Amino acid sequence: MLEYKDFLIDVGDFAINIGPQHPSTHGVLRIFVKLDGETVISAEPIIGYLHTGMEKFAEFRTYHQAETITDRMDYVSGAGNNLGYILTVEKLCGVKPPKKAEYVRVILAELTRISSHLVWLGTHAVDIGALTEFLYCFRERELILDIIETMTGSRMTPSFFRVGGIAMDIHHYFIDKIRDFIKIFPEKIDEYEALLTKNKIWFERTKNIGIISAEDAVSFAFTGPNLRGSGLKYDVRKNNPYSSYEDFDFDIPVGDIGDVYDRYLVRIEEMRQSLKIVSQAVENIPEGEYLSYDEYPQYVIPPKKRALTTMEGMISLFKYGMDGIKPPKGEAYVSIENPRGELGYYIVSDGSAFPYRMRVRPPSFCSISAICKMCKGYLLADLVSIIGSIDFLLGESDR
Amino acid sequence: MKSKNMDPFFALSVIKDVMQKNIISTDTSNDEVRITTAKENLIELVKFMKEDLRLNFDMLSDLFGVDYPKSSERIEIIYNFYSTKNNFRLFVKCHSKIDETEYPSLTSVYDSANWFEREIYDMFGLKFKGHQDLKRILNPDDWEGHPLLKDYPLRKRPSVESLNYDTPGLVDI
Repeated sequence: MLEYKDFLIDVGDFAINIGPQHPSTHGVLRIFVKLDGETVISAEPIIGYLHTGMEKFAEFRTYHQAETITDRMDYVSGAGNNLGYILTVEKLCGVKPPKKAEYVRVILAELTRISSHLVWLGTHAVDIGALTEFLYCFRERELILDIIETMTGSRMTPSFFRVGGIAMDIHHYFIDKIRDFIKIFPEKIDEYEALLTKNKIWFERTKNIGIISAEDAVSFAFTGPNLRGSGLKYDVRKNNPYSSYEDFDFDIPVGDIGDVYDRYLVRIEEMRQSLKIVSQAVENIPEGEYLSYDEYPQYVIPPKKRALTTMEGMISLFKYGMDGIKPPKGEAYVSIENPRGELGYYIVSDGSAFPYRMRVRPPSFCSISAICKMCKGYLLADLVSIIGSIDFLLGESDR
Repeated sequence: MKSKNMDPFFALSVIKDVMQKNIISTDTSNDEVRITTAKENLIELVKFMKEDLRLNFDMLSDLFGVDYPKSSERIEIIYNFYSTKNNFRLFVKCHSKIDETEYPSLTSVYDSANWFEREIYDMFGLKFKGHQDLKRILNPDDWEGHPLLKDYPLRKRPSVESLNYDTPGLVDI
């Protein structure tokens, strides 16, 4: 009589290809997986399907044209990318923006952080099977995009910052809308958590999955919430404060063992902390100029009103548009805390109107490279939750 | 307020004390510390920077190239090291020719070097000695040329012929 084991065929290792077009890969990531039964033996991420040569493009654009390239890389958190780029050019030129502009930059960067985390939470939950979460998250994301549109005129790719300040003065609609948002958002975060944090299914799918130790995470150059999920308290906003972050009071949440659940908790708490920063910034916006044109007329665009009413302003604006700015010869690096980790810009200037070389340090690039390490020994179904938990964006990683 | 230990200039003085022979020049403009070294001494310097407890550069945060076509060793490789314990950053520069065969790989020291070095190979064509899996990462495997070299044109794309795999080459758009 035949027994059950007689029907089993030993096929050895089994190789399958996930992506590049697959709902759970968040874009066009391809993963080549080798399986033993349902267990992952090795997973090799293959990227480059969204490569658009942004670094090469920037070498052929003037400094303020190149700004518009930066927010198209990480299109979910555009303001953050603009901020890093502008800070680097400012460092090259030695320009210091007015305090008011720094506060508005912080507000926009933190709002995009919340909206980026909402996209992450929604899609991550859909991957694991909780569809309602997605609808909740995108409901509030719409409010944030609305606020950003009120101020900058664009929902996802603002390009609102200028060397030495911001493009225009703030108006009260912007402040009012943020105040309304601050009122309603805390209870919405509780709503998201009510669906997932103590949910048994969520717990089973995320707890003790995709563990990466702090040493490995540092060696793979993890930054941002992924590194903090592993228990290392490293945040550029605290460690090397930029753009007046030292004025605000906020905490850095850290995880415990570095599994999917820890990274989830860290990001949820980060949304609360970002909201705290936004509310402090909105209530304390300093009065004054929004562009430091008077101090650095050779690098900073004149405010629109002066450009249209005075002759010097008109000439400056014309020269700014036609010639561009010419930072002195040199090199500068600035990194900022983007939702996905430490986003750094290294710009080499040769004294001309075009950057000689613009290097973007992509946080997603590093986190994707560690998928091979994080997936080994887990089930194929866990691969999906691991991919979701490290929150990468292929546009930024491939550039 | 930064303490003395939190300063990259402190790291520079430690490296100068111990590794003076490995340093060609230093540059401290824009409050950043950049050390230029020779490729023969790179591994020794990096291992010292990682293992010395005063420095402890445990993260290779970034690694990229800059092309200077006019100099004899035209590729400048810039290593961006960060110490998560001491909270300072230091850049190491190293020059190389494109067809250099002895350029050392850092994959045995840092995991993140793996993909960064693949990217440099893809964009500049520099082959790292000792890299286990050196292949193109962002461009397709059959791509011609190395895009971030200064003599690679911006406004060109692969010709129709190259899609037929008969006579690969580049034409004007």
